[in-house]
Amino acid sequence: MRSFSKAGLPFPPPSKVIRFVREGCTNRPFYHIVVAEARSDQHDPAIEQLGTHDPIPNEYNEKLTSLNFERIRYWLTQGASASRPVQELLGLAGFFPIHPRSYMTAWRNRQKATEAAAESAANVAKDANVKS
Amino acid sequence: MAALRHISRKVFTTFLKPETRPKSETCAICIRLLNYSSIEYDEKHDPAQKFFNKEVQSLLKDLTRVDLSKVNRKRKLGARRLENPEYKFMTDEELKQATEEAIQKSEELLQIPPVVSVRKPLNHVFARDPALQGLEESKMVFTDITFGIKDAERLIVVREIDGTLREAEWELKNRMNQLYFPKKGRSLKPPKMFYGEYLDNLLERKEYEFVLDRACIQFEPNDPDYQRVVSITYQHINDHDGFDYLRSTRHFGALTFFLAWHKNIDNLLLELIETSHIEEAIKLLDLFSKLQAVNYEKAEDLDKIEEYISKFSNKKAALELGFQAYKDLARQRKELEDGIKVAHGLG
Amino acid sequence: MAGQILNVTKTFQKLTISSRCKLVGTIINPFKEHELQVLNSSSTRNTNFFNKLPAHDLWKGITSVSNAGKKRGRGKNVSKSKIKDLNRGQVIGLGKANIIWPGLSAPIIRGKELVEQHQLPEDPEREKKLVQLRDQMGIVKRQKLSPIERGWSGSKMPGRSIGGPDPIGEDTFEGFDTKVLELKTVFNMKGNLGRKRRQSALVVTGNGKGLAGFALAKGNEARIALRKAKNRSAQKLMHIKLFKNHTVCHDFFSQFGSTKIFVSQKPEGHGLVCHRAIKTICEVIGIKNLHAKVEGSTNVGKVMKAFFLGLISQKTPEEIAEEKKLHLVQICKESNYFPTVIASPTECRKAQEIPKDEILDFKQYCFDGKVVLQKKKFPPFYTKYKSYEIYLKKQEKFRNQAEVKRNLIAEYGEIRSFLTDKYPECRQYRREKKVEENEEAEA
Repeated sequence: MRSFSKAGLPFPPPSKVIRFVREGCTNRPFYHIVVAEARSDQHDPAIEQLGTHDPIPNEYNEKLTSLNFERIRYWLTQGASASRPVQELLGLAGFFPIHPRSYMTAWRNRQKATEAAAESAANVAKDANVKS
Repeated sequence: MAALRHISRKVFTTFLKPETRPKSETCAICIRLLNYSSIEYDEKHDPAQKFFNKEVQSLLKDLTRVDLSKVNRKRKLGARRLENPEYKFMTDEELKQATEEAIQKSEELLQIPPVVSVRKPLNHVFARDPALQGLEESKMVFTDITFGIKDAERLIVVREIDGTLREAEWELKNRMNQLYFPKKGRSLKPPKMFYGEYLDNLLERKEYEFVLDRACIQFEPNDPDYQRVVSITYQHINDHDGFDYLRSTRHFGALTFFLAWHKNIDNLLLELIETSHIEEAIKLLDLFSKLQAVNYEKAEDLDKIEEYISKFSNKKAALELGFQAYKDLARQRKELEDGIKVAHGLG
Repeated sequence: MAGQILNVTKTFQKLTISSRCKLVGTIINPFKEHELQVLNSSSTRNTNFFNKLPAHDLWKGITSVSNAGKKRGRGKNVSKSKIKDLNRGQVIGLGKANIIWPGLSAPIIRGKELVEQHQLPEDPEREKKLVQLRDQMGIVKRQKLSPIERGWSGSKMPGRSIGGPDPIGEDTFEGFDTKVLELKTVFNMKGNLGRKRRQSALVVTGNGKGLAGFALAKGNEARIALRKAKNRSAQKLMHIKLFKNHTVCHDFFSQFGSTKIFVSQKPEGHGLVCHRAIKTICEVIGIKNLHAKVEGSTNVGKVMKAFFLGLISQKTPEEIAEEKKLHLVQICKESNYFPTVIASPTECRKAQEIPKDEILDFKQYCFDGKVVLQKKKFPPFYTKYKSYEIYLKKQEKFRNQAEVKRNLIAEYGEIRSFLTDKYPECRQYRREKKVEENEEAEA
């Protein structure tokens, strides 16, 4: 049933969002991927769980994610949006196009790595000079 | 008879040299164990078509020699104590019906595990994106958990560290399937009992059924590990004459198929002849002819055996001795029966 | 010189042979008297209460109570076990003064030398030993039984095995064992003796293969009562039907007086879960698996009689099948619900021949048409408490711990994670063994 405001105009239907819910415990994050109403609290009961994400790599250096693509597709057709971390994750899964932020983060990480490498090389050279 | 058996065994062991054993050239994993090498069903000759043939299936079932009391023996189901048995009063008809139903049920226990060729490695790449290098320090694995998909068809993809998006390899696929959709009795990592000295030990203790049952739970039938464990176990059984351990179990058909497929039925044939199961011996030869696509010239049962021994056998001396002993025994038995008939005044 | 020594030894030998007491008296007393006389001029008494009477009279004085005193309840705490033999541990010639008497407490000639009488320093240990010996006197330690020999309780007889019955002529009871069910003191009033005290023993004997008997006998002593009962029970053997040599033929109910027993058949490996008297009887008969519930009086004699009555009235599966004229079929989960025929009648009835009101349920048939009231089991009281809920919440995180530990030990041989290589300091703390520390200290 549709609800109405005092002015008699219908409320816009509440927008849905696909997002993470942090489960797990202290120092051990674990996420549920859920579809929930946009303005509800993170730990409020969600409409449906769509998957899980474990941000800590396992024994084989793998980060495990499970996604119910059928239901994700359904909720997207219902007008649900995805939060940015979920968008990034779905991008990496090949479901969405890759999120620009993923490219940015990757580029920044590479930059940092090259800088760190250069710095360490300089330090090594310095140490060598001091020694000689 | 016993002495004869002993002699035939002796002759046999002299023939039993490693070079006479069949070897597969396309063997992917060759772990040496008790001098047995893994023999896999390779892709070139797919055994599945012949295995699922109705005639072959019925032959395999007949060779299993089902003893219902052994199939339905009391097993420990993991509970601490056995459950109280139930007693019922039954009329003849009810008993007959209940037995028929139970026999149908025990068919399930006797279903032969499928024999298929080893699977191909997966290496499908969906996308390459070098611009994602540096984003993650570990691989990302994405599993589709959509309801109602079969484990074999489930989409599992990996985003590598260098940005490549590819299909997960078999090992990872099995692991993810077991993680998100656990199967009872299967463990995430294969247990140690399938490797090295542990397997060695189990085989020496003749725990064949345990090894094969556990392998059926742990692996898929097209898994190279499954085919390795199973083939090593079959070879051990064949060499140590442990056929009776597998009779009335679901594994006997697979064992017979394995032996016939690799032209190694001599031990089994000798055992059947020695124990005077001549009908089964002939069925075994039929199976051999079906799998190896050979025809016997003679239609008579005993002639067939003779023909097999002279044409295809690797261990002629032992088989001939055994067959001769069987023929003598049969002749003696016939004479005795005739004598009894005469004594009763029927002859 | 040699002649002198010979003389001395001869005189000593004579002295010792004639009388030891005299020897002591002749040698010691003259000295003592002289010394005393020198020290004290006053006269002394050398006789007193203690050396006038013999030891047993002295002890009697302490431990006995007069007849009149006994009637008044005196002397309850004194008993004959308190009497101590003070001579025990004492040897003539060895005393407090520790003097060496050649020919008495030492040889006369040691090597080539003549041993002289001389005093050694006092030995404090000797006195202690004597005291200890006297303290131990009168305390009888109970013998300790091995756990296998033990009965139901401590070293009491009930539940203990007293061996097979004695053979009668050439007939021996091989493989039989007897166990005591009850051993108690009973009284009977006699015209001239008053309360007469006897021992009553109830025992059960059997060969562990379905042959068993019980008997009650009395005797003046426990030993006699037990022997009588044991031999009498061997004369009253009964044959008891067993199912596959390990359990009862079927569930049954039996009653003796107000004792009611519900017995149920159990599969192998279940064990005997029942009253201890029933357990003892089962061990003797050879029943290994059974469950029994005793309701009403648990008087051992009645329990035993009720159980035996029930056992005797059992029917074998063949008898049941013959009576019902139907196949008796066993169905159990472990054998994939395969119908195993236990017994078949010579002639089986047909479905039309069975009347509508006939009991076909096996359990109901065993209990003669009655149904055992199974009381509902209520959850324990604490499950309703808030604290229990909190406890469960706290325990939840340990729910798989044992299994994970086991798997890790199976895989790595220790409890570790895959990050242990990276962070070796993150290991389970183990206290070092003390033995190693000691070894290090020694090194």
